[in-house]
Amino acid sequence: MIQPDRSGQQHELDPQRWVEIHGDVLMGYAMLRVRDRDLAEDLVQETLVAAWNARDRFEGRGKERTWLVGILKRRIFDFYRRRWREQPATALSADADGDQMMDRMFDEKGMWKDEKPQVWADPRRALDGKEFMEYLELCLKKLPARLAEAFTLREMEEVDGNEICQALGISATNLWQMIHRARAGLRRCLEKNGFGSLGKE
Amino acid sequence: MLNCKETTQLASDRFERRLTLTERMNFLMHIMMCPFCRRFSRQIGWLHDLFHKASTLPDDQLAAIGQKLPLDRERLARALRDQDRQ
Ligand SMILES: [Zn+2]
Repeated sequence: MIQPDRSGQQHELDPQRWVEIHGDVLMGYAMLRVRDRDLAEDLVQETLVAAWNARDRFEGRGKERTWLVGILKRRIFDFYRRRWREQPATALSADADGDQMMDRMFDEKGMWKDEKPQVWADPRRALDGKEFMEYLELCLKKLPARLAEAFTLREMEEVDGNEICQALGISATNLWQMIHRARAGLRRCLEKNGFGSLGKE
Repeated sequence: MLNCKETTQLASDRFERRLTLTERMNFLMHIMMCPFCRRFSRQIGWLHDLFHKASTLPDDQLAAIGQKLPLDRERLARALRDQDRQ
């Protein structure tokens, strides 16, 4: 099978070369979403193998990269789906749904407690996407795992909410609550780590 | 009148679904009076934008992240070659 490379030249489709062209991009993509090196590598390998076996079906229409990322996306979601299904409720952390986390933010009347949101300078221009993820790394780790995972799939992968509900076996209202808690927890953690002043000139 | 916990839930829900008219009115009424929920609401909007930026990183930046993690290219290429042998 002959494929044009990025410079438009024709070359034989060769495994080594394929890994060289796509490996790092796929790895970066997976790493941002699963934040575990070994897992990211496994997912990239699964993706390349699946694509390699189906390469005849990819007729060079559209971009090869887009096709590969599409497969990887599916693998990432499948991984979480499996993990959620297999994870017994007892294996979840004591604060799996973030109840305690929310209780630290709001009193029994639902009003802000001692850690009220502070004034922030708009951080959007101070950070590019990569720097933001580096900042976020620490705070995502501090969230209950399922909250962080569901939130990442929704916010980064833009997976359809209904699909996540099905995978988790929860209602839409439940998912919205989880996502909200993840946002609230991240916001507070980022603030504690000086995120609010990043946007100052 | 909504409390702060309910108001921030709605602030977040705006990214997930269309709020009802009543919800929108109650939300606006609360954030007019409450600087904390107003900040919360604006800040999660900024975070949402940053997430979008991070989820649409150009290929060269993704590659830069990938390059830092030594990917075993030999092993990967071997895995692909093995497929053809089966
Ligand atoms: Zn409030």
